[in-house]
Amino acid sequence: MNDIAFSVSLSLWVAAISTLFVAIIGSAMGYLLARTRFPGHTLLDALCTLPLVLPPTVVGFYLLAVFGHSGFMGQILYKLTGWSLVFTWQAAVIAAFVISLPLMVKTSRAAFETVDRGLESVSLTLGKSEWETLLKVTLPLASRGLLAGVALSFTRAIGEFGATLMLAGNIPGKTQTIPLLIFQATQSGENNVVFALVIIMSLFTLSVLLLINKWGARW
Amino acid sequence: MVSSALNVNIQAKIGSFEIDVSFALDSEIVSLIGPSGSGKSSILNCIAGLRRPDTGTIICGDSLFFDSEKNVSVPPQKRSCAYVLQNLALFPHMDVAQNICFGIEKLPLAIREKRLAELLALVKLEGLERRKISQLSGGQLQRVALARALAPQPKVLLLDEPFSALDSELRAELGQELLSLQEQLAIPVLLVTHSKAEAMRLSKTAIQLQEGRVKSIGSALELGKEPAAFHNQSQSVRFSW
Repeated sequence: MNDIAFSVSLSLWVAAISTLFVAIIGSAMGYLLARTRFPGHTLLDALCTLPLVLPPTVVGFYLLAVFGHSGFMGQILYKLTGWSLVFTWQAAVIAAFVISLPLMVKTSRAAFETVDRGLESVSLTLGKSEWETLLKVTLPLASRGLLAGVALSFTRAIGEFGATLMLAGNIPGKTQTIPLLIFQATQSGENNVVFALVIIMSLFTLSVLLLINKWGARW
Repeated sequence: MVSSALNVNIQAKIGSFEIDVSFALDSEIVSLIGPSGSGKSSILNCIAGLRRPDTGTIICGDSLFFDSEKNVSVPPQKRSCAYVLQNLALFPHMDVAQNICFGIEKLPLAIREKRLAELLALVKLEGLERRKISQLSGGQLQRVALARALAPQPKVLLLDEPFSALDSELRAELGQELLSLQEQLAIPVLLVTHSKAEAMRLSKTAIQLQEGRVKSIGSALELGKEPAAFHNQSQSVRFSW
């Protein structure tokens, strides 16, 4: 039972932190992709989609190559702090972040694109700055789509398995999130644990999706 | 040259399309007429400051909006240009009062409420201030858009086919209201339309555009004497979408 309690709270914690960053960075990128055109626009769009379609283990491999002991970021981190990211809960956050970011970018881009640019133009001619226009016109009108993106990213983050296994490992009591525990419990035949976790995951994810549908109703 | 309320002389290249126009208007309604794709909306965008012309000048009264040689381009927020878009662009997440007061939010509450009451009376929407945008009829939407544009006491009013979504009866009614409104406000009003009848009814002066250039500037009544060929062309363009 302790294993289950730990996994559930670790998963929620990891998904919450990763979703916080995903919400901010993902909607900024979605806005950029929806509202501006620059060289490399389509490349950035494709790169943002990549983690969604690549096998998570491939994403995990790239993350190890960057954050691992011999990786570029990993070495800098180690030199600066003497701390290694691999096999920590922070690594699970990074894996969840990268895997769920595409969902936020895609959803927020679509949400921003549905906001009539005429509304923003009118706001400018009525004396509002670009920043005020973003806060008072664009964001409120995109808010339902943004919330849906946050909810999707959160559920995806909570279910993340492959990249997490590669970067954070599967250490009971340290980096073992729900999906990892389900895998291990299945391997060792602990059917009660598997059953409990599968139910928890399914009900949780279903209720989030129902919530998104409710928010999906337009103005 | 006598100084006019609004002086426009701009050149702008938009893709393969080129705008090169020069005209002036006093405190009057002037219609800007021409088929779709003749550059009408782009000219309004340039005046409002939403699009930057390549060269030329835009002068409004005693303030310089744009001068390519002096490298001046006042941002749209500082131009006091009221702009009513074709689709009206009302804020769907706000009610009537919030829409109308959007441009005057920084005024003190008492002044703002007085101004709101004045505007509601002006556009005949008294009692509807708490209505949602989705609960309004076509004519009411039109009036809200106009009131919102006029709230900050603009120096110019730009109207981009404001009556295009209305039936002919309502069109005539709102046209009459616009005429008396302009008399009260005494500001230049540039009315984009592709209906010659509307141009003749609402304005003394009409500027005809063709492919980004001024084809003619003159009395709006002259439009009625044009050969039928042009008339048919503009009609067919009008229904092409």
